[in-house]
Parts: sequence; structure tokens; C-alpha cells
Amino acid sequence: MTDQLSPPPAPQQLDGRWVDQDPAADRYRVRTSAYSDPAVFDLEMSRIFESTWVYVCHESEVAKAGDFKSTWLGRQPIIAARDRTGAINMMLNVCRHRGNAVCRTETGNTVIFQCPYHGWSYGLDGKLAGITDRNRYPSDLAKQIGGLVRVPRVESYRGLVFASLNPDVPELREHLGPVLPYIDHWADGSIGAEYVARTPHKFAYPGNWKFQAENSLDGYHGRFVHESGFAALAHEPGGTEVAADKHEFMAFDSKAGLTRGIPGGHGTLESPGSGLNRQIGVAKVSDRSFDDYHAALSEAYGAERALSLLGSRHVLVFPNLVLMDLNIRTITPISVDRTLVHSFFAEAQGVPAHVNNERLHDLQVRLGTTGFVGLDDLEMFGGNQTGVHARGMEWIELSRGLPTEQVNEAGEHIGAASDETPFRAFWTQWAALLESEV
Amino acid sequence: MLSTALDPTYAQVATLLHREARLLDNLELDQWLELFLPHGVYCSPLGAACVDGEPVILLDDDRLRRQRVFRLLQTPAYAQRPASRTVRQVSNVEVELQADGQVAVECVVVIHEVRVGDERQYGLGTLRVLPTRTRYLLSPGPDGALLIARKEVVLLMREAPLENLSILL
Ligand code: FES
Ligand SMILES: [Fe+2]
Repeated sequence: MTDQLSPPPAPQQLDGRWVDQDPAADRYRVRTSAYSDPAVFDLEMSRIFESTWVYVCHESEVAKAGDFKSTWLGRQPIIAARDRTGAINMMLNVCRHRGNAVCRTETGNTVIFQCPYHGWSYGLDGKLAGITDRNRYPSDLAKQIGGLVRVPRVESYRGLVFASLNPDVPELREHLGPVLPYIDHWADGSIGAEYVARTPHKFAYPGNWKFQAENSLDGYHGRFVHESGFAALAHEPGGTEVAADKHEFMAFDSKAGLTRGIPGGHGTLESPGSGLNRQIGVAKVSDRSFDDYHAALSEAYGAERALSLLGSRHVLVFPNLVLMDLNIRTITPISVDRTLVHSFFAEAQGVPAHVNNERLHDLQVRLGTTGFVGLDDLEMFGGNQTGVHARGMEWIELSRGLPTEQVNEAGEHIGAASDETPFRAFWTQWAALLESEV
Repeated sequence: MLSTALDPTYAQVATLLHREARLLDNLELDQWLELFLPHGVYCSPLGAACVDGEPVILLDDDRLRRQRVFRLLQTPAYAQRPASRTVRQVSNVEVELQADGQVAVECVVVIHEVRVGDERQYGLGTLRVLPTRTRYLLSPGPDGALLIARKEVVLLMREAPLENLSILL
């Protein structure tokens, strides 16, 4: 298994830069072509998705020996499989004979991957296990081939498995460094063991992948895009109406919230936990579930951290992972104007079943395949994609909160809950990767 | 006992299914709500069937159903602005009378959907076909007419990424 992936193609000479940061003018702008130009998309695939650390799956998706998942890393078809030693292997889902996909199912359990075309077979670690009718080949061919081409780097943190097609990336922990405290904060919502990712909801939308990445941390859009969802959830059939803007679901517009732009392109949208609204994150749950979860967190972490964990924090881990309360969201770019989103309910361990059941229900009602809230977000992305193809609107504005944002000792930029602070961190990292010379 | 096309129960079921399809196509959703019994369940699984505690595409009780209809009819639900037009076909209807007087129905419903507009705007004007196998449990309401105790819509495409599933199924 000495074969290396070929290096990414050399970029085309693209006209100019995409991110325009003018501190003197307090403006931050991004070219619309960054969302609409297929050449930019190709560059993103080679310089971001196939060169840096990218989130692939949760450990619980391949919990047992023989469990596998077939997916993409960038645009490369891969298999993630757990072997009998407990290790998670990742390799190209491409037969070394004549290139057929060795695995056509998305998830399952197996002892071996056998290519359907001529029957070559590979172990859970990708090693070549058998060549059909092998004496028609040179005798040392199996040794020369070794097995499926390995994804050179696979590491996990708090149950989240990342991979990189670039063998020279730094250690995962070093790469994630500045965002680790926020991943910990999210992961601590599960007590004594990491979350279990349940069967995902899957969405597609006709728009660029970055719209979902940005929107996850956008505290500015809620009162418009989600006026409908919030009003419907506040609606008492047969009762008197609650004005949507009075409703607790508007948590992110509260003055107490903030946004955080984190070095490395990561970011957060936060609403601190006070316990007063008796919500878990943004989820309204029964008093019983709130009290039980609060008690379990307090026992595990102490009163102060428990309160903090009851708040809501959306975390974007650059480029394709969003952690939102009990939601793991992955972003899979298909083309410049088409994206898939997988949304997993993260089941907390160490808490009563009714807490998880209520939170699962809440998540699905708001953000599921037929969600009152999430569908209106996805609708924005199609509208956005329509707009970014227009000539004459060359730049979008990402300046909100720029004049007043603070920078702390950790190098984090801190803005108000409705500021575009985390987008600027995202785009600054994006530009560092895309605008670098080869 | 399996009911046949000549059976009065079968005719009653067919009338109910066709009426429901028309109400949904015409967005007469307040009337659609009244086809359900108060404890009625409206659901759609991610797997083969809705199972307690498993993630599902849809699981509405009376309250959520009414909130969903309120959202579609009385709030700016952008995923439905412009709104979808739909045409539903109901076929392959099998009806089974149960010992307790309830009626189990399994049928094929194919929903044809288009959001008004055309390809000059992303996401509009594309005809989408949503084939489903739909199961009902019907019970006589207060006046003896059959009402929906449970409606489970099993989408053919349930394991594929779905785009904007904001219409009622
Ligand atoms: S292509 Fe896989 S065995 Fe021939
Ligand atoms: Fe939103």
C-alpha cells in the first residue's frame, strides 16, 4: 500500500482575488463568483476538501467490527470501515483491478469487500485478500498492489472522525486547536460516553455549499426567515396568538448572545445558558426532561458548567461540520450549485431515555426533513444561488459588526449575536487556502 | 377479511382517499384536518415503518398537524413562497376490515409537485414525482363516517437526500 494519491491539479490562473478586506474602510467583501464559478469550486475541492482535514463520520456510525460507511472525501469515493482491532480505516472505494466501486451500499456490516466485477476482495483494512484466478497474473502482483489506496490520515476527536488526503497535514488536535474548547463544550452534553449518531435526515438544495456553512452561524436571519416557523410553533390551536417576536425561540436575537470568529476558519453562534427559560439549547422540553438533564449535568460537571451546557452553541468546524446542540450536520458539496446536508440526531448518553426522545422530536419538528424552521433556511440558498450568478453584483457585503468587534487573547474575534464575525473568520481561512500560490 | 371493490366499505374508503387527495391538492387544509380523529397520527418513516424512538421524517399529533397547517396557510413560510402545486394519484387500494371495526388500508399515492416558476430561479419550476406507499388505519367517527386514526406515508425516496419537503404528504 505504498501508492500515493496524485497531487491536486495545478489551479487555473483565476482573475484576481475573492476576498476583499479593507480595514481602513471597515468593510469586508467577497466576490459572488466564489459561490458561482465552477473553476472556484474545483479549486475548493483540491485545496480545501482534498488537502486539509475534513469531517467524515461519527465513530458511532461504524461502532462494531465490520461496520462500514461509503461516502465522499472531497470528491473522492471512500469507504470508512472498522476492523477487528477496533481501528477505523479509510480507503478509496475503487478496485485496484479496473476501477469498479467495491462497495455500493451506504452503510452496513461485512467481513470483506468483494468487487462485484471480477471478484477481487479486500479486508476491512483495505488489504488485498484475494485475486480471482490469480495464476493468470505475474506471481508477485498482489504484493505489488497491496490493497485499496489508503486515505493517508485518519484521526478522531471526541467521537468525531476526520480524514485528510494530504499526508503532510499537522496532527488533528493541532489543526483543530482553537476550536477544541467549543467541541468539548458540545461533546460534554453527553455524559460518561460520547454521543451516538442516529439515522440521519438528508437534504439536498440547489445552491453552493458555503450558504449552509455560513447560515449555521447567522444570528441575523432568524426573525425574517423563521418568522413562520416560530409563529407556527408558538401557535396554540384554538387559542390566542403569541406574537412570534415575543417567543422564546428568538433566543439568538437576545442581547446576551454572541458570535465568535475562530482562527482556522471556525466559528460559533452562542446563546448562554441561564436556566431561566428552562430550555435545553433552543429546544423547548417538558419540565421533567429539563430537570432530569440539568441534574445529570450538574452531577457530572458541577453547577456552573451545567448551566453553561444548557445554553445553545452552534459550532462550525471548518469546512464541513456543524455541531448544533444535539445536531451533527455535515455539508457535502456536489457541484458549485448543488449541496447535500446530512443531519444526525446526537443521542446523549448517561441521561434518561425521555430526555433524548423529547429532544429528538424537537429537532425533527424544527430542523428535520419536513421541519418548520430548516426548510425555510434551505429556501434561502436557492434564492442566493440565483443572485450570485448576476453580473453587476460583483461583491457581497460581510461587514456587519466589523467596526465594533473585539479580539481576545486567543485571537478570537467576538461580535454581537447578529454580526457577520464568524463568516469573516471563515472567509479569511478560505482565502488563505485558495489564494495561496502553488 | 379483505374488502373488494363491490363492498360498501371499499367504496367508502375510496371516497375518503380521493377526497383527501383533492383537499391536499387544493390546499383546503382546514378541511383536511377534520378528516383525522383527534388522537389521529400523521407520520412518515426514514426506514420501512415509523418506530417509537427512531428518527422519522414526520410524526404529527393533532396539535402539530394544526400548527403545520397554520404555518402553510397563515405565515410567510418561504419554502412555500411561491407555493407548490400538486396532483395526487391514488391507486392499488387494498382494504381490510378488522375485528374491532377499524379498517386498514394500504395504497399507492403518487404526488406530482411543481413550485410555480421556471429554471431562471434555482429550485422553481421543476416537476418532482414523489411515489409513496401509504397506509391508513380508519375508524368510524361520531357520525359513523370513517376518519383517519393513523396515516403513514412511506416515501420511495426516503433514504435519498430530499429537497424542500414542505408540502403535506
Ligand atoms: S474491477 Fe474489481 S475485480 Fe475487476
Ligand atoms: Fe435558520
